[in-house]
Parts: sequence; C-alpha cells; structure tokens
Amino acid sequence: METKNVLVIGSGISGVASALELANAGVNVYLIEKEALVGGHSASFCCKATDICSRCSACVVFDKVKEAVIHPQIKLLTNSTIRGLSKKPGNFRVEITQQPRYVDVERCIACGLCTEVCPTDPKAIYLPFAGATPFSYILDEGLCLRFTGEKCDLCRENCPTRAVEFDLKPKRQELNVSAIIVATGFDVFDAKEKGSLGYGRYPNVLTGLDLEQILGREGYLRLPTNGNEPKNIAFIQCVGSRDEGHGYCSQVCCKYAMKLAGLIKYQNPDTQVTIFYIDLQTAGKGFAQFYENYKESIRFVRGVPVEILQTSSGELEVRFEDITQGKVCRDTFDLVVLSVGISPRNTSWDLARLLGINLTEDGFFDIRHPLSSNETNVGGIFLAGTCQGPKDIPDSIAHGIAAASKVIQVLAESAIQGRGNQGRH
Amino acid sequence: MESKIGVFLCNCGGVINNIDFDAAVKKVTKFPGVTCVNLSSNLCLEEGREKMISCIREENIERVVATCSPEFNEHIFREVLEKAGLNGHLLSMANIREQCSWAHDGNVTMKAVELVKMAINRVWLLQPIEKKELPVSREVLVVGGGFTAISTALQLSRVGLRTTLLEKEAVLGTRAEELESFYGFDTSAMISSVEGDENVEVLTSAEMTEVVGKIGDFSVRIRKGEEEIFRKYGAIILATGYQTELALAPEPRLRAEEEAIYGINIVSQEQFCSMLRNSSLETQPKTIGFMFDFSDGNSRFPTLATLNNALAAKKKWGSEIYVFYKSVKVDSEGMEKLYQEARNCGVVFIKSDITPRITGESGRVTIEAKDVFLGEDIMVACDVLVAEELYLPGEGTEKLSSLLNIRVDSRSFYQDENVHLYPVTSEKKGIFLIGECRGDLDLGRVLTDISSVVMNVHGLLSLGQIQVEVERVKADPQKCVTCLTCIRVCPHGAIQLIRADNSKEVAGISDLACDACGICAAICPARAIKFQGYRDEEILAQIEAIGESLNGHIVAFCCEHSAYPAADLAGRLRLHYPENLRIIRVPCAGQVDVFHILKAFEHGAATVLVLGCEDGACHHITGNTRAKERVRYCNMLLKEAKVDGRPVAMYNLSPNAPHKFVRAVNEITKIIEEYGR
Amino acid sequence: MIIAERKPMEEIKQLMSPYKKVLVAGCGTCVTVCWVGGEKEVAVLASQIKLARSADGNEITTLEATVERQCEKEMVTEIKDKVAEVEAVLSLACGSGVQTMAEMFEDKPVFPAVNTTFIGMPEKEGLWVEMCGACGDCFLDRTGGICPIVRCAKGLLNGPCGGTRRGGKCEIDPEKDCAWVLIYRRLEKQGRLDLMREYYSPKNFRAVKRPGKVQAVKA
Repeated sequence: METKNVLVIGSGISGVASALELANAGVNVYLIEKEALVGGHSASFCCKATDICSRCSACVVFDKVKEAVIHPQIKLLTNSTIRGLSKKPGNFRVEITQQPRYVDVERCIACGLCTEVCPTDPKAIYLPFAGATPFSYILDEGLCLRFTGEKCDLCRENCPTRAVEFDLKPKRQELNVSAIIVATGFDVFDAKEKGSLGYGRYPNVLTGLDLEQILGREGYLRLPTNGNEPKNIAFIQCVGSRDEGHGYCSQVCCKYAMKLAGLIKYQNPDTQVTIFYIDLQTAGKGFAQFYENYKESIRFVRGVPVEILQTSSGELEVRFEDITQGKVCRDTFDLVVLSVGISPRNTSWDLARLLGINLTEDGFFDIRHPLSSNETNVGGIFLAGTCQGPKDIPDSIAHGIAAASKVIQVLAESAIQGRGNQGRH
Repeated sequence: MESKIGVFLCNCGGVINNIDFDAAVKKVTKFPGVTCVNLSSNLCLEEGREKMISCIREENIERVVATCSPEFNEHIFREVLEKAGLNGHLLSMANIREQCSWAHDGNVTMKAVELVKMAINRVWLLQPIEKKELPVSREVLVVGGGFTAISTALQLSRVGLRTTLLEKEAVLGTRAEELESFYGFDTSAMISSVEGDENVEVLTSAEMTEVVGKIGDFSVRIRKGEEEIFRKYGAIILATGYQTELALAPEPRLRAEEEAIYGINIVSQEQFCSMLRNSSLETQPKTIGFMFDFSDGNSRFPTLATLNNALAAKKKWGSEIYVFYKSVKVDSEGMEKLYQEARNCGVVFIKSDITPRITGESGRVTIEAKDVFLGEDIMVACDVLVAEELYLPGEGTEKLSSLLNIRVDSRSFYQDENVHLYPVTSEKKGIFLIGECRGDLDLGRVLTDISSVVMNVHGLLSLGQIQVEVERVKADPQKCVTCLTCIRVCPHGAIQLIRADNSKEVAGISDLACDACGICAAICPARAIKFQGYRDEEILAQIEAIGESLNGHIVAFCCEHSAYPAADLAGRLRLHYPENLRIIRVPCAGQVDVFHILKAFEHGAATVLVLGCEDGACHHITGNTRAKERVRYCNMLLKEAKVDGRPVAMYNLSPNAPHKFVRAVNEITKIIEEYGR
Repeated sequence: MIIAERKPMEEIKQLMSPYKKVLVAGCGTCVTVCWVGGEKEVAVLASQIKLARSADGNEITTLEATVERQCEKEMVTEIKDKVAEVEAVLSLACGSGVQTMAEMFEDKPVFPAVNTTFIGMPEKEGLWVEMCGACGDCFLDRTGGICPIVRCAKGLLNGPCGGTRRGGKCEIDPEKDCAWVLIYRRLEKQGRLDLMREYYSPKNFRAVKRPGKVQAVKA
C-alpha cells in the first residue's frame, strides 16, 4: 500500500490517539492544532492519585502527547486552522492557514531568556505550564507591547537561537489527504451563564477546570483570595449539563469531582467536602474501588444549589434545596467548585459548514449511523473524541483509535479498488 | 577495553549561567576514554547536530555522551549516531539542564561534571542493539459468540485477517434477545454473515484447554466434543460477554403460599424482552414495576435496559409503569434523552435512597419505598416486577483468566484497572479484552472497543512480521539455573522454557513480547539476565562516578515513566531541591535490585531513593510493588548491618507531578540531616 | 530441592569478626533457586558485610565466587586460587556444600552463612514449603503422594487426629491444611479410598543409618 496522507484536525488526546495509531501503521499524518500548544484541555490536568492511582488518566495524556510530538510519521502544525476544502473521490484538497507563532518550535530550546527579559507583567512570552508540549515558549499577542504599537524587541534580540521572529505573515498551505479526522474537542460550559452561582464575581468560586489547572501548577490547593488552606469545600454537579439547552450528561463531572475531592482530602484530611448532585454517576471501569474508599468521607447531598452569595466575612453561602430533607437550606463554604460540563465548541458551526458535515441538536458533530460513532455523513471524514459528544479521557482515546481504524479500512478499500482487486497484502 | 568517547556539552544558547563550562571542559577532557570534548550552544538544533555528525566522523568517535534530557531528545541523538555510522544505542546522556542547572541555586559545575562522568562511565560499557523482523502468525482467535465477538470477526475479516470464532455454547448469538429489543439488531443475519465469511472459522461447543506461547505465536489447544484441535494464533481476543443475576431485595418476604412466583411475576430484563415480543392480549400486564441501582451502583446496563423496556412496554401495552431507582446512570450517549422521553411518555420515576421492600400478595408483587422528593412511602402493586440485576463477569471468566494468566479487576471482570491498559489491552502482549467482559459498557463503548482492537491487531499482525530489538533482554543459558523465577514474575508473559544449544532447558525471553522492564533481571538469583543499557555493571559504573561531596550524596533511582519526567518538569518550573541528589534513570522501579542499592551505600551514598509510578499505575503492572518489597528488604538488611538511620525510601508519583518529586527529595534530605551523617 | 535460610547478620558478623579478608562463596544449584545463596545473594551479602564492618570501624575485604555445585569436589577445586588469597570462607551453600569446601580446603576455616532447613518445593514465587523428611522409607504410594510425616504436625500415619478444624485446617497450626484431609481428597479423586482402611505399623525411622550412605549400582 503506497503511503497515504491523513489530516487530523485537533491535537487533544483524541486527535493524538488517532494520529499515533495511523502513524504507527505507516500513514503520513498531518496533525493540525489551532493553539500554540498540543494536548488540548486534558494536557493540563493534574495527577489525582492519593496513595493509589485514581485512574484519572491525566498521565496517559502526558505520555501520548509526548509520543506524538516526536513521532517521525506525524507532522505537527500548530497555530493552524483549516480554511478551505475541496473534495474528489478518495481525495481531499485542504487549505490550511498557519498563524504566526512568533516563536519557532524548531529553533526554540526553551532556555527561558526571553521571559526573563520581557518587560510586561504578566509576561507576554512565557511557558504556559510545566508539561507544555511542544516544549517551547509562546507569545501572547494580547499582552505583548509590540501589538499595542509600542517598540520592544527584547525577546528577539536576546534569543540565542534566533527563534523569535516578528515580521511574519500567516502562511497558507495546501495538503492532499485521503481522509480527515475531526478531533476538535469541546468548550467548557461558561459558568458565568449561571450568574447566580457567582463565577467571575467571587474569586473563591472556581470551575472544575480551574481546579485541575491550579493543582497541576501549584501542587496544592489554596484559596484564591487569601492563600489559606480551604477547610470546607463544596462541589456543585451538573452545571451546564442535564438542563435546558444541554439535554445530556457530560459523563466526566461526577467522577472528576469525586477524584478531585479525594485528592484534596488526601492532602488535607481535615478538609470537609460536600458534593451536591442529582444522580450520582459511579459506573465505569476502575471507579468502584475508588468510590468504596471515599463514599464515607465525602458528604453527598441530593439537591442542586441555585444561588451563591458572599458573606461579609468572605465565606460563600450556598442556598440549595435538600431533596432528602425536603426543604431549602443554606450552608457556608470557603470554596465552591462548579463541575462544569462539556459543551460543543463555538466554532463547530463554521467547521461543520466548511466540511459539509452535520450537527446534532445539541451542537456536537453528528454521526451517520448509530452503529458507527466515528462516521459522518461525508465519506472519508471521521470524528474522534468529545467533538462528537461528551467522553472521559479513556473513552476519548478509544474513540480516537476507533476513528483511525475506520480510516485504515477506507484506505485499504481504496487501495484494493485502485489496484483492481489484487487482494490484500 | 579501549573506546573512543566523544563528549558533547551544550550550554543551551549560552544561557546556562551557573555552570562554568570552561572548567567543565577541562575536567572532562581528562577522563579516561574521552577522545574529544565539544562545547556547543545549540546541540539539539539542526546546525548543532550537523556539527556532531562531522565531529564523530572526523575523530573516529565510537561512543557518544550528550548533555541534554533524554526525555525529548534521546531519539534525536540516536538518529545523529545512526547518520554518523554508529549504532544508535552507543549513547548516554547527562541531564545538566533540567536536573542540574535549573534545579539548584548557585554554582553547579561540580554536579554537572559528575553527571557527565556518570554518563561516560556508562557509555563505555554499552553494547550495540540491532533490529530485526520476526515473523508472526496472522491468524486471530476471538473467544465468544455474541454480538461483540461476531462483529469483531467480521471487521477483522474486512481488513484481511483470518479469524477463529470460538464459542462454548452450541450456537452463536448469546444474549441476542436484548440486543434485538433495544437496538433492533438482526442477530440471525449477523450469524449468517459470519458463518458464510471465508475468513472466519466458527467453532461452537468448543473451549480452550491450554495456551502456551506469546504474541505472534500462541499455541492453543481447543476441545470440541471428543475432538482436540491444535492451532497457532498471532493474537487472542476475549469477547466473552457478561451475565446477570437477579438481586432481589435483602428480605424479599415472599410468602411461599402466595402466587408471586419468580419467573412469572418477578422477571429479569431479558425475560421481560421475551414477554414484550411474545405477548398476546390476555397476558398484557396492566401495572409494571422496575427497580435498579440499589445493590449495584456501578453498572450502566440496568438503566439502559429499564429505559428501553419501560418505553417499549408503554408504547406496546400502555401499561402503568413505575420505576424505583437510586441514581439513574445517564453517562452514556443518548441516555439522558431516553430518560426524558420515558418521563414524558408517562413512566413514573420514584427516587429512593433505600432499597424498596418487595412483598407478594394475590398474584401480584408489591413494591414499597420512600420517595425522596415526597418524603413519603409509596406502595405500588404490580402484575410484573422487573427486578434489579447484578451485572457479573461472564461464566468461565475465572477459568479463562487463569488459563491465560491475565489479571482481572476489582469486580472480577477482565482487564486490570491500570490506566495504561485502556482501552483494550491486557498486560500480556497479544491478548486483548473487549466489550462487556471487561466491565459495564454501553453499545457505543462496545463498538468503539471493537474498532480499537481491530486497529491494534491489524497494526501488529498485518505485515506478518514485527520489528524487534534483538536480545535487548537476554537470559544467559550458561548461567541460568532454570529456577523458573523470571518465568513466574514476568508481567508480560514474555519468558518461557526453551532448549538452549546444549539441550538444557533454560529461560528464553521473547524479543516480541518483552516490554523491557527489567523486573526479571533484578530478581534473577543467578544474575543470568542481561538487560542491555541497564546491566549491573552499567548501573554500578554510574554509582562509582559519583564523587565525595560535602553532605553525602543521595542516589535516586528514577523510573523513566514517572519520576524521571517529573524531575524534568520540576526543573522547568525552577522548583529547587538539594544539589546532592544524583539521579539514575531506570526503565522501571522494578528493575532496581537490592544489590544496586547496597552498592550505592558502599560507595558512600547518604541514602537511596527509589521512585516509581503510583500504586496501580505501573506501566509494567507489578514493578512498583516489587520495588517497594525490595526497599523494605533492603532496609532490613541495613538495619541488620547496623547501618540504620539512613533508610532507603520508596515514593510513588506520576510523570506530571513535579511537586511530588520535589517533596519526596526534600523530605528524605530532612530525614538524613536529622540523623546526622 | 534443598531449601535454606540465611543466618542473621549478627551471627555472621560474629563468625567473621577475627578476619579481614574473606571469600563469600555461593552455589549455583539449590540455594540459587531458593534465592538464598546464588551469585546474586553472594554479591548482596558481600556488600552487606562490608557496610556492617565499615559501620563498626573495622573494614573487611571480600572476594566473591560461585560454583555450579558446591558439593562436588571437581567443581569446588575451580576456585582454589581465590580460597588461597583469603583468611576464611563464608559459604552460602547447604550443609553439604559447606562440608565439601571444608574438606577441600582443610587449612581454611569455612563458615556457613545459611541454615539448611528442609527438602521442599515452591508453593508460589518466593514461598518454599517442606515436602519430604528424608525418612528413607518412602510410603507416598499409600498416601496419594502427600507425606504426613512432614505435612502433618503430629506426623501421624493412620488418619487424622480428630482435632481437624473447620475448613480442613490443622489443630496445631490453623494456617496449615490438615494433611490427612488432603490425603483423603486425593485418594478420593483417584478412587483409592480403600487405602484409608489399611492399618500401617509405626514407621521405622532407622531405615536410614545416619550418616547415610548410598552406593549406586555400577554401570
């Protein structure tokens, strides 16, 4: 089989899983990513092990992303999006636009000098988090002085490998590929939409994603307001899931809330944790043991809070209906974590139009047939991961591998047709 | 043994400012075996690599030391060596940036030089490793006869692999009733399809009785009635499904003389499906009760079955339907919508925190429970109760898992819960687990499993050969005493008894199945197993390169999957820890031998740290547990030798947990200081 | 095979105390298989002794050697050069090996570093259990292949003592299976339960004159 090209759009864990499977099968993979970094949301998640692994799979993401970035069959294009597509049977001509990255991945040795000399605060050129892949610095146009008209050349002047370049224009390239895997991931539900819960107003109201990133970065949880250890934490489930506008369960939130709660309690056994829920999702491989260990030490309350107010002493008062008790209650906490759900990307609509694929009524990419959750209505275009619907990390990996499997079948079939039924291998 | 070693130092763009490179170069040049020392500012970039290649050729260098982290750049430098005409494995790296310059305050020249010396000592001893293609069988064994197994066989056939479908019952199509009800499958069409497929051999009433071998070469003995069949397969896929068992409430209090009879009034979901399909007007139940999620909160299947059956019954019979449950499991595709549909259709859901009481009375079943929302007891008398079922591993799981020597999880389903095995692999290369037999899955997840395994197996076997590293880990037949220890401990099933040249039975490590963890090498009581790159002499050489430093040094054996990358991340975050730490990279904590630890002490280490993956997340399943045991044993030996006060410590962490790494090092340093050196 | 257990370090240190240069000698047969005296354990012990003596301020030098079978004169003779260099030999072999070494090198003290415990087999990796008492009058044919001399706490020959605990456990050691329960079940599987009704007279423990001697039939 002559070597084929496949495009994978999105380098989150699902896209990476697809890319790795295809690359190991000898396919040339173009992995495009709109951010400067690879790995999507889950790359910045923290390890939630207590004295045993809690099966969150954040480390699996770390491993796979690392593997993908150095794989000889995978060509990574960051800061890139797909701009145009033309179809012919068995062939797609794709137009990719690559925005200037300003820091050349091939030349950056991550020495850190640029960030030292950068005059802004917060730094405009920086390493976003320890495990950032590719391991190279990135420039934030929003913070950089040059983009507000000021003159500043410090990072470029000081870079020892001439990796920083400013006079750059977006680059266009055309790729010819035999198949496309869409792995564009999800957006987190914007908790500000539920204004009464205080996100964005009260610094000690965080989302689950915020918590992952804080723990990943700092290793410990401290209150955003005063840096103290939180003593009393509440998790609120189903924020942006199973409600009007989101007629689905996000699948990940109950588990991530419990695992984060478990980690926090492991670090500080005296911390009280309460989880407010509707229906507790405790199914899934590897979870039974975890739940056994923690179901006594976490307080579970049936009922979803509707309002959070900050008291004069800076605590957060949560008003909720305690369903088991049958009355409205109030409880105060130091910190509230909103378990926000998985929403479709706000760019899905544009991408769907460009590729000619359909969306479901929830806004995720639609599948052609309930028995094949990777196939779209367009032959040769497949879906991987949360862009098709909520999934946790292991399911996203599996879905990505399955998408690769579908691609291989399509490539094999076209090879057979191309060679006029010579048979396989 | 004379060898020309080229040392390539890099000052990372000239930015590393706490290492005096001139002094370092002077010192390194004097080390035995060193032919040339080069200082670069951009070793990993194209121009740096080109210079390296020229230098290697010009100076006839035979072995290379490069200063950089092997985490991202080992493969780059291996490629450089290959391009320069050397075997890529004659390379050792000294991590002077992430694990030295970035990790400590002040001048770290001495440590950097020591790290280089450790790498030089090691590279001196390294052996080249070649690659080779080994043939593998392209036949696949799929065990099972239900939807999952059949679909897998069909998909494997489509990608050109021949399959044997092995089913212990007399016919294919187990649990077809529900699948047809819920998803509208045409089971008989699927069965005809697979039976007619020229790439699939269907064996019913047949069971595996023995399996030996390894990936690419499994020898399987199958018993079919009186017949014994012998086959060879490249991979084995288990798709043996699950079974259910009614879990009636703890004290059902069914009065024996009443007509509430199990099987007629209290049924399973599968029986209910049959009732739906085969009912006539006379037997339509007017009131139906369902219950689930009380005894087993870990299954999705009961929710799925209940919603489907309740909706079907509502539509077909218009019965009154009451569902008693604790939490509805909607974390599957489409489940929330199905739940809403059922509610909108008039199915009544009664949420209860405590298992309902079931009683029988005049041919009907009564369910009583406290509704969480109303706060009151609700009692419903039904014609039929579809009782809660426990979701259990398929019959024969225990037998088969012991036959294949693969682990099961905490609920006795196949596949250890170790995240590195997901989605479909087992710890034994070439043996896969898919579908419900590895735990509660919904249709979407089962289908994904099937596609995943087809991808994996196709990737492995389609070419009829797999590339391996030749004798990466090898048992020396001269030294092997055939104690069988390595065969018993290998987590990957890679070691078997073979006949060496002199016809003695010894341990043979398969290059195909070996995952290069080194657990066998560490446990071999005859020191017969050689793990290239991590042999005793290669580890000792690094230990011996560590000089006397003021506070006594701490040797940290860091697993390459966990602690070593975590240490790198700590460096990136500029998290500081004591300078007297010396890291030795190992493939798995399980490869660290008691002998290595004692030698470190002999050589003057203040103490030794062993760092591996989190409990339950070892890439080699048992490596970290074995390491823990060895550390405990080592501490006992040290105590015996009255060398206590300097305990060896084992820490577990993930690669993305740099803070844990630093905490571990700081903790152990403190302990040492308290005991006084 | 022969199973042995390492002596406590206190005792070994005591034995080594007068010496400054010793040979740690291993055996590549039984004691290697039971993880006590092979090349690996020789290295570990040598290291441990050095550390122990260092901690006492009384350094010791060690040489290491492992012969394939320490109870064979021809094999032991291969390390005679190393023996010549040292003041004493610390042997990790079973009693048989220690005595062979002692006989071959009469002028050098040879010390045992292990206690030879029993003839046994691995129940599972790392766990060895006694199987045979070397009584010299084997009657395993009558007990379905299970030896009650060794595996019954009371060494009974004619059935259980009557004190068997629930679950078939021994009266004396509740962790142990009652050997006679095991024998019964084995004979039942083989359809030979009639053997349980046979009475066997007390065992002749002098069947083997100690020290034992066996002359193989000449070829």
